Amino acid sequence: MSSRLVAGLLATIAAGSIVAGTLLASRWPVPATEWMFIALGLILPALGWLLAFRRPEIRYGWLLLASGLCLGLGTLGVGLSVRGGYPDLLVTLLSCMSAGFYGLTWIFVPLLFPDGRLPSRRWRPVAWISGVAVAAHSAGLAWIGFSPYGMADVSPAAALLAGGGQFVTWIMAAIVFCGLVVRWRRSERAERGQYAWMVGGVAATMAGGVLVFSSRVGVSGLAGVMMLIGALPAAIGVAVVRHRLLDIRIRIRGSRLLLMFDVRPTVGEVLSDLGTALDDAPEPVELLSRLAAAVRAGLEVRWAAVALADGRRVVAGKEEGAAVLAVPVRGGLGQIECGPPLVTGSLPGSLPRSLTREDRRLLEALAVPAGLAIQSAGLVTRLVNAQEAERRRIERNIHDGVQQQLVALIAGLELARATGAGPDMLAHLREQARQTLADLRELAAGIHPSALSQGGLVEAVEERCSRLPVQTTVTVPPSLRSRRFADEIEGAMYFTVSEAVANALKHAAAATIDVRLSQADGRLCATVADDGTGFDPSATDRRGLATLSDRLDALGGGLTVDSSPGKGTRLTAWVPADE
Amino acid sequence: MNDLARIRTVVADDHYLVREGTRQLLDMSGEVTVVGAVGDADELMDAVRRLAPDVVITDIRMPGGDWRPGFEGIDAAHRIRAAHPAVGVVVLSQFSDTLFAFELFKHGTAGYAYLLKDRVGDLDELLGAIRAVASGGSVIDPKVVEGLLARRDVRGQREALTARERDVLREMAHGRSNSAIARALHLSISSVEKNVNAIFTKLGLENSGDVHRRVAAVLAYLGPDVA
Repeated sequence: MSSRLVAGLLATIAAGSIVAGTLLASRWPVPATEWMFIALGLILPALGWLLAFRRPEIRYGWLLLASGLCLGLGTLGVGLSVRGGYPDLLVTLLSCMSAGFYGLTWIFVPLLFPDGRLPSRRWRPVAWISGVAVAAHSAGLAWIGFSPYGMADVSPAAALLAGGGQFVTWIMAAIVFCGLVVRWRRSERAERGQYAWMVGGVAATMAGGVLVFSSRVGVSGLAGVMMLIGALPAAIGVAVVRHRLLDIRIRIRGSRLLLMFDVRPTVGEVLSDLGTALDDAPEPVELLSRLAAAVRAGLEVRWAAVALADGRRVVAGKEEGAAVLAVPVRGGLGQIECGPPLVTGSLPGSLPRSLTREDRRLLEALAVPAGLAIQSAGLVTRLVNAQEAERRRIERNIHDGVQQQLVALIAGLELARATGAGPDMLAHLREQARQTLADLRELAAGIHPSALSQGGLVEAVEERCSRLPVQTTVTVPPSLRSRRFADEIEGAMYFTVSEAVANALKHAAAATIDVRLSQADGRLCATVADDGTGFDPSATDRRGLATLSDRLDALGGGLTVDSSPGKGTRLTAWVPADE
Repeated sequence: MNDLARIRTVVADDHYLVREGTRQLLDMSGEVTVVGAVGDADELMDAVRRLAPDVVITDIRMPGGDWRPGFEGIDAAHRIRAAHPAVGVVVLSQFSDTLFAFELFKHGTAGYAYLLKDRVGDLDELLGAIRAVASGGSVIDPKVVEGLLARRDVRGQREALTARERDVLREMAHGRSNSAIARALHLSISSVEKNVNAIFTKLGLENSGDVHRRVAAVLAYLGPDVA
């Protein structure tokens, strides 16, 4: 937070100098007018500090801070010169800072209003000329300050430099003021308030300047000084709190007055809100639309969309205008797009703006949970689909298998009853019933083997593998043998092994299968290796394994298949599991 | 056979139709009389205390009461054998998983039989098991023996038994005598004896002429010892 430290330091120096300079220059006791000067003078560094501290990326705060600093140092210079006895160089250098104050407040503060940027490129010469003029004014003042005999002995060159600089400064201030008025006239309703205050502030400042130069003393001179010092910061202050300038709003909560900064949510806020929103999102699609809504709200754009690699697209807001920013989400699953920023009028008091670096940062930060959300949305959809497919398969098996067998059994029994069947026919029917029972057992074991629920993973894997028609070895460390894991872990691992050995038999024509279960480094790991035909994993549709891979994914685990034609297959599945 | 010679049994099964079907089959056999039919493990314990049967025929899974879920029948069998060592227990299982067989035989095999439930349709098998446990013997369903052998294979404890030897081993575990095995497998008695000797040599077991002890040895070998 070094920028904040700098802001604090500059503001402290500015404020300290204003107070010290004023007190040094005044008599004791300090008259009320001097206190008023201090109070008005402090507005500028305070405002500058507030903006620079809260929104360091916005140049305007730093500009105000610089003006405040110039005011402070200039005041200090005056104070020191009144007291006398301080080094001339110091006093002179400090005093000529007031030229900087005038230049900044009359030209740059209105010119760069409201966000610290030039209204357009055409204003560049004005900025440059003004800069040079202000520099010339201060340099001339410094030169004059060094002349040991006061005004009488001022060299013409120094006078020309200072006077010319000041003159050009006045001209430029007038031009900038005109430009400000034009911008005010042209501005839209919501911005008009901000510009009006600015126009008023600058006008008052300039009027104050005129008063000061024309009268020097007396009530009007005093009023001029006050206007010169206080009008502009006061106007900016009002614009800030009343018109949500620079995203600062004032809120009254109960009896407390609150300044609210960063009306737009920060990255952290958006992420934490999004986290909550995603947590209670009931459905995967809903997840994506909440994500899009979070992006839209976070960036204050007209619309935001989450586009998935598979072509699906969820849009929040009304899609008007082309996307101005698109950030890919983690893992190339798709991208987040957002439309143009909300323009003034649609959100009262907001500024027209282009998307900033900050916005891009916010979007990139959102891309990470977005990736996770998209991934899990896809995962959930696939898991649900797989579950549906599995249910259909079971239903079909029951319908085509056991159900038909029972119908046949009933028919057989009816026949036996009608014909007074002999022992052979009854034995045949009993055999038929037994076969039905065996099929039903197998079906039940396929849905969820009793060995898994009653005996655990190792028991179930051994049981499954012991029923295979090829030589199969299961190797398990003794420590795992009686270990029980959460149902979902045991289920995912068991069905992965089961599918892998089934594939080894069905597709790979393996002669031996080697199954290993192990646990290390917080992972429960299962390896199924066979000596079958192998396949090219990249070219093969692995529907069954993909479902299991999703299942393992959902548990934070994973699945890898290592195979090539003629080399056998080695499948490794793992899930996180504490030892 | 008069009633006094009949083996007194209690049948336990949570499923009414199975329970009554089994009871009728057994009663009809003339060898066995069913003195009680109950629906859960608590009732079974009570019936054994009250009726002092010779043999209990129980299902494995009988929900209810304060029992280990899914193991009610097996746990009840252990308690019955512990409290009434003279009572034999035939456990009928829906599962051919070896898990439940291991569980049943974990403290020893004497007086226990483990049969698949569809044996109720095979009265001779069921009666054979009842007779065996009534006299302190053991029976294990051939399908489960098959599972036990396969399990040893999977664990890499493969025995170099021939297919014929495996058949004989299965029949042995079923509590059959050499002559019964010979009949079942259509072999000569001397051939069976040769196979039996080969099995015992290969498994490093002590041969015994007594069928019960032979089953116990085979089961002890195949059974709960999880290495």
